[in-house]
Amino acid sequence: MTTKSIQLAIRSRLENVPQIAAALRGLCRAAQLPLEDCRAIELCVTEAVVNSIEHAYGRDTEEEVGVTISDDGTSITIAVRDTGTPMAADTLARKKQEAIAFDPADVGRIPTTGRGLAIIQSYMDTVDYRIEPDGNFLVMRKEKHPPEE
Amino acid sequence: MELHIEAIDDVNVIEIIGRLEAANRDALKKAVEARLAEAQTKFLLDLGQLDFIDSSGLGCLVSCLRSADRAGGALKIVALQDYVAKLFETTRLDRVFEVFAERSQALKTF
Repeated sequence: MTTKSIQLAIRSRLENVPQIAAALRGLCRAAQLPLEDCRAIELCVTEAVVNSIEHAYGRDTEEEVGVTISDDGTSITIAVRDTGTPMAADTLARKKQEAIAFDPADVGRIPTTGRGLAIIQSYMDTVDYRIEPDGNFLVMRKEKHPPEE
Repeated sequence: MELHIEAIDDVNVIEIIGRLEAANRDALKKAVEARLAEAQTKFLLDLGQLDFIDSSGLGCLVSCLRSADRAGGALKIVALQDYVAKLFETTRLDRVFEVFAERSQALKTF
């Protein structure tokens, strides 16, 4: 099967993120993905785009975040690109641990941030982060499952 | 996102309708903080009409819980949909929040 790809881009503003989410919902429906997978993809792309806006760009609102969605028939691959400050090499692994390393009984110390990358790693089948000459790429892949009857 | 807020006895029941995410999380936080400033410290968040929540939204729920706890009050949740319940389990927040299926059941516990 030929791989189909769509590219989206937004200015680095939080109020633009729902536009990306809405576009993804439409694409996932068109690809006939189960609702649970659609929700997972929408959530993970939202996390990645917000991560670029808040951390890579430090909320500079005039930069660009690009999202490329590819469907090769067996999986959906999404690459989120920014040209801001890259993440440290160990960030993905570190965040996965840190996000759940709290004492639930110690309410005052439960973190209010830092869950986004851990969520992405839990919901997607593979996650990779690459720093390339033309930007930083968070690439995530979700295997396609047939819709539930 | 819309917030429908009603006081039932001394509990503020806040129904969150739509999406709770980075772009609008401050609205919920401000609603809770405004009531805490008036010494209203009991909150029940109804998530039955919540269409989407991301980690920013989860962080906002935790922040509101921390504020209520610090004020000597409580913040509990009702009508957790399956996709949110899964997200709570993934992030271990299922061990943090008291969650109820029905409002009437939750209101008895304050």
